[in-house]
Amino acid sequence: MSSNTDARPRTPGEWLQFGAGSVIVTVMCFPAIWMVYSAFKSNREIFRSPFGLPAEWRFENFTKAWIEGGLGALFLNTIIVTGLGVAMSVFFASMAAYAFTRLDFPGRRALARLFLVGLLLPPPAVAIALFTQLSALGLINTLWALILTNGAWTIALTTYLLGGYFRSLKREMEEAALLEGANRFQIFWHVVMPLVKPAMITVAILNAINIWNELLFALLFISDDAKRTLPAGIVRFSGYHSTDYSLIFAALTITTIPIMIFYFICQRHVMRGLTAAVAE
Amino acid sequence: MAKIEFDRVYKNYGDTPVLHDVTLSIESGELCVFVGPSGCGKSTLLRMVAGLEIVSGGEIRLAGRRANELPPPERNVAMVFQTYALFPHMTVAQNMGFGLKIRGVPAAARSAKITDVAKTLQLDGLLDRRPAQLSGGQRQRVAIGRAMLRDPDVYMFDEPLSNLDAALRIQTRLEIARLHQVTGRSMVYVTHDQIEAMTLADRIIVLNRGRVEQVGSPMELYDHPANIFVAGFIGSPKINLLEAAVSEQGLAIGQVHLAVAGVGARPGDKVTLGIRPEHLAIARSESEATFVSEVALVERLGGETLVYAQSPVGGDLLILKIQGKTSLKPGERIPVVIEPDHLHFFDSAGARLS
Repeated sequence: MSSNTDARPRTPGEWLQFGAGSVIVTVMCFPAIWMVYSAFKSNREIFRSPFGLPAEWRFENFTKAWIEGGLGALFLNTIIVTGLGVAMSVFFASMAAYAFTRLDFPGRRALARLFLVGLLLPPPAVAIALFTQLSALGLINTLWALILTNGAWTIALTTYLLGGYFRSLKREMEEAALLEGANRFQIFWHVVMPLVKPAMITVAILNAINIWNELLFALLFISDDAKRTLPAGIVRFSGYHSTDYSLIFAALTITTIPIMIFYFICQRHVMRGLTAAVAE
Repeated sequence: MAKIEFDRVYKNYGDTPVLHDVTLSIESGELCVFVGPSGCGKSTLLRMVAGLEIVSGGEIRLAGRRANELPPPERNVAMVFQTYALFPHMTVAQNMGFGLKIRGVPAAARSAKITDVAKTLQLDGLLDRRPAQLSGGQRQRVAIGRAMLRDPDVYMFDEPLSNLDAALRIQTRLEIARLHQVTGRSMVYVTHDQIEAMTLADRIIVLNRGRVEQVGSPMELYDHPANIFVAGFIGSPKINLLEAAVSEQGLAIGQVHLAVAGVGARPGDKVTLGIRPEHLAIARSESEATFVSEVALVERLGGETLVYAQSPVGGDLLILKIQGKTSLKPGERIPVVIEPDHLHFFDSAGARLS
C-alpha cells in the first residue's frame, strides 16, 4: 500500500501541505537550533551576528558553563525533583483515575470535575497561596517544596489522561478477577495497572518534561543556590549589569539535551500511548 | 452444588425497566439455559446471580441463602465470558491460577492443580503462552479452566461460543456438556442461539423484553410452545406461522380449508396457525394435498432439504423440511399436505390455544 502511495505523483495540494508543514517545523525548531549553535559563539559574536554560524566553534563554553554554573549539583537536584515528582504524580493519579472511572461513590462526578479545575489554573494564580502553605510547613527552600508542588500540579492532567485509558479497558477482565476473589486493590494492582502500563509510561514522560523545565515555582520556593534546579540555576548567568549569553546558551544546551534525548528514546511509547486511547 | 432461586426479581437501569417480576428456580446440578433475543435481559439475569449487577427488587437465593447483598467472591460462582476475559499480560498458567494465587494457595499446590486441569482441557503444552498466542477455542478453554480451578458451586456461561467459528462451537459445546456431566454442578448458560439451548439444556428459560415467556425442557418448548414468541424462537428452521379464521369445519387459511378439530376457539375467531417445517410434506398427488404451492427456493443440506414455497395467505414463504434429496426447482408447483396432528394454535394475543 505504501509503495502505491509513493509511486503516485504528488498533487499541488500535497506540495502545499508539505510546504506549510516545513515552515511550521522550521519556526518551531529554529529557536532550539539557534540556541545550540549560539552556544559555540562568544558573547560579542552573538550580538554582532545573532543568526550567523559561529566563526570559531568554542567548545570551552560548555566546560566554563558547567563549572561556573555548578551544573552538576543542579542536575542532581533536577533529577531528584523530577523523579520523585513524576512518581508521586503517576502513583496518586492512577489511583484517582481508577476510582473516578470504576468505583461508585457519592460525589464522584463532582469530585472528578473539581480535579479538572486543576487543568485550568495558571501557576501564578496559586503561587502566593502555595508559598504561604509551604512556609507554614517549613518546606520553603527545600527540594520537597518543588517535589510536592510539581507532583501535585501534574496530577490533574495525569488523572484526566489516565481516566481515558481506564475507560477504554473492558470491564469483563476486572469482573473475572472479582469473581476469582480479588479485592479492589488486587484488581487494580494485578489486572488494571499492567494493562495501562503504556499509558503510564506516556504520562510519566510528559510529566518528566514539564517538571524538568518548570521555572516559576523553582524561582519562588528556592533561594539557596545549592538547592536550585536547572532552569532556575541558569538564571544565575543573567547579571544585573551584564549577561554572558554564550554561557547561558551553553548551559541551556547542556540542560535541554538530556530531556530531548529522553523524549526521543521514549517517543515511541508516547505516540503509542496517545494513539491507543484515541483508537479505543 | 447450589439451587438458585429468583423470587419476584426486578431490574431497572434508572427509570428503564430491564427485567420484570422474574420468579423461577434452577435446581441443584441442573444445566439451565437462558435464551432470548438481544436485549431481552438474559445476561443481566446471569450477572445478578454473579453479583455483578445490583438487584432492583425481589430476592435471589443461592443454596437457600439470600444473595442480593452478598459480594461476588462469596457467592462461589465462576463465570466464562463471551470475550473470554483473560488477562493479556499473564500466561495461560497464570490466568488459570489467578484465583488460587489470590486465595493464597502455595505455588507448588497451585502448579499441580493447574497442570491437572490443563491436561483435562488439552492445554498442557500451552501453559507458558500468553492469550494473544492462542486460537479462539484455546482461549475459551483457558477461561473454562480458570472456572474449573475455582471449583465453584455454580458455573455461569455468558454467550461463551459467540466468538468461535462453527466447528469450534460444536466442539466447545460438547466440552461444556462433558464438564457438566463430570462435575455435576449447577450451570447457567446464556445464549441467543436456540440450537445451543436445545442441545445443552436440561431446562430452557425463554426470555423476551425482560419477561420469562416459558420455562421447560427443550422438547416441552418445541412441542408445546406457550405462545407465538416461543414457537418462533425455538426450532430451526423456524416454525411456519399462518393467519387463519376458525370455521365450522375447521380452519380457513386464505382460500384453503383445513378440517381440524380442537382449535380451542369459536367459529369466526382469528387465530395463528403454527406448523413446524417437518410437519409439512409434499403429497404424492394434488388430490391428497391440502393446497398447491409454488417453489421459491431449495436449500440442499445433504441429509435433508429445505423447500421454501409460497404461502396460501401470502407474506412469508413457507418452509418444508424434507428428508433426503429432491430434484425440485424454483418455479415448480408442488402439492403440500399439512399433518393435522402436529399443529399449534395461538389466539390474537399470541397465547397458545387448547
